[in-house]
Amino acid sequence: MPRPHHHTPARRDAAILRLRRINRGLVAVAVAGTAVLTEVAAQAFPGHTIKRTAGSTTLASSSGTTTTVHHRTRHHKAKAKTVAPLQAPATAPTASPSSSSASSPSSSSASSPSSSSSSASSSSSTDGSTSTQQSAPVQQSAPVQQAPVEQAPVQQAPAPVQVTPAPVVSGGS
Amino acid sequence: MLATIYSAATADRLCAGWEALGTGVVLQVTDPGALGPARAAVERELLAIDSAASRFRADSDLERCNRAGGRRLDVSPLLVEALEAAIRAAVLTDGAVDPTLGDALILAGYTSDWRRFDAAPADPSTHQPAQLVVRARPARAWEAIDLHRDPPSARFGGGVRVDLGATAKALAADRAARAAADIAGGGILVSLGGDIATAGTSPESGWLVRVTDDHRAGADAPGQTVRIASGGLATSSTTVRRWVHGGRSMHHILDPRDGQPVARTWRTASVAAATCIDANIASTAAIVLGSAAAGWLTDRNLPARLVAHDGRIETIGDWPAEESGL
Repeated sequence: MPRPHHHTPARRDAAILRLRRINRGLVAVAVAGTAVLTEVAAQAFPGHTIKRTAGSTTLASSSGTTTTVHHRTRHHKAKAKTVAPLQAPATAPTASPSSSSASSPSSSSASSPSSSSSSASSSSSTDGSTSTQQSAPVQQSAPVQQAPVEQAPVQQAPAPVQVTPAPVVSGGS
Repeated sequence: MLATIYSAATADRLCAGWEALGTGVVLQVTDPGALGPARAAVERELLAIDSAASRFRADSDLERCNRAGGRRLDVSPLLVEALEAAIRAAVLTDGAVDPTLGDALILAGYTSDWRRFDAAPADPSTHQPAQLVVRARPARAWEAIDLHRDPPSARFGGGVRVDLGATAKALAADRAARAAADIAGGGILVSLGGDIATAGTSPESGWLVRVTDDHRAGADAPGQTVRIASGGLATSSTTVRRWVHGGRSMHHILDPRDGQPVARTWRTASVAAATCIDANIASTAAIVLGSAAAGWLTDRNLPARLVAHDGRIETIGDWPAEESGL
């Protein structure tokens, strides 16, 4: 006895619809899985560069002027980092007379600190100079003693002294 | 005589010096009453940077990351800042100042705090560096440093070992000067091993700085005295921090291209910039770049003074002319 034929067009269309839905789901799962695996691999292996997220490092300039530097990761994805350029000083160094403290033996203690603290000394104090070219953060006059006339040659009142810390030494370290 | 004593006593209240971070610290203030609080602020900053970025402390954040085998670790915000500064230096100098030379420095024998080094340094006149065996590093190895600010964390990939000696000290000088000025007021100058940062209101005639080969030398050492009104000034030199390793003379400025001590045109480079760290980056780069340094500095408008191995002096940009040779 022949078997009844149940495959109607309606049943066929319904089956095709189900297959379409299944295929769409599979594609969505595959895409999401690929993204997850990619992120896991990026975090797990060396070569992952600085993230560009809100909580991550950026090297943007705070001065407004930036230099854009392009480089590549191992994944050959070009990234751009903005790095603040080296800033020139507001004013360039100026010359100072070579005689200013440079030859004072006592000044070396200020620039070569020993284990004890407060080792500075005044170079200007050794010669009693009143030069106006000295770099004096604080200019104070020394106490003046009134000397008797008879003793003037040995107790002469000192000239006003400008307090000048010795130059700070900038050298290799 | 009285004037001398009075003046010296006042100068003592404007300046202090001590040892920290394996080098000499000098603090100058414009207000005598500010010296105490300023020094306290500077000492706090130096302790913080030592705890965060020292390669010679096993418990520092930097060393924990160096030993982490590529794992991400939580670190202090200060280490993230120091690493950012080091990466910036590498990018701006195209790798001439490279923070990933930790292994090369260890191979060169720079394995401990400078204060614990051999008391008998090598002859600085020996300019032939040793031939070292250095592990291959990828180009732009600093890109393997992965940082997050919030929460602060760091990961050193690619097997790199980071050394922040070139930039952390200058960063600390900048931070210390700012902190001292904020707390104590007035004008502040902080020198860490000759890397100088200023903050606050400078003296009317500027800060006096003697530029020479070695920051430990006295102010009467051969060199030039200049004034700076603000910003920073740094000097890098191959004549200091020299040691003998494997019977050869070494120094601490390595060429990232081959991992060997630099022996190019300049022995000492002094640069002025808006900050101490910018000055330090440029002065270190100048030593590594050699004959190309003059053009590199000129392009960046950075005043500089370069001293060649034979004593020849070249000034760059607005750096004041020399009165007499070195």
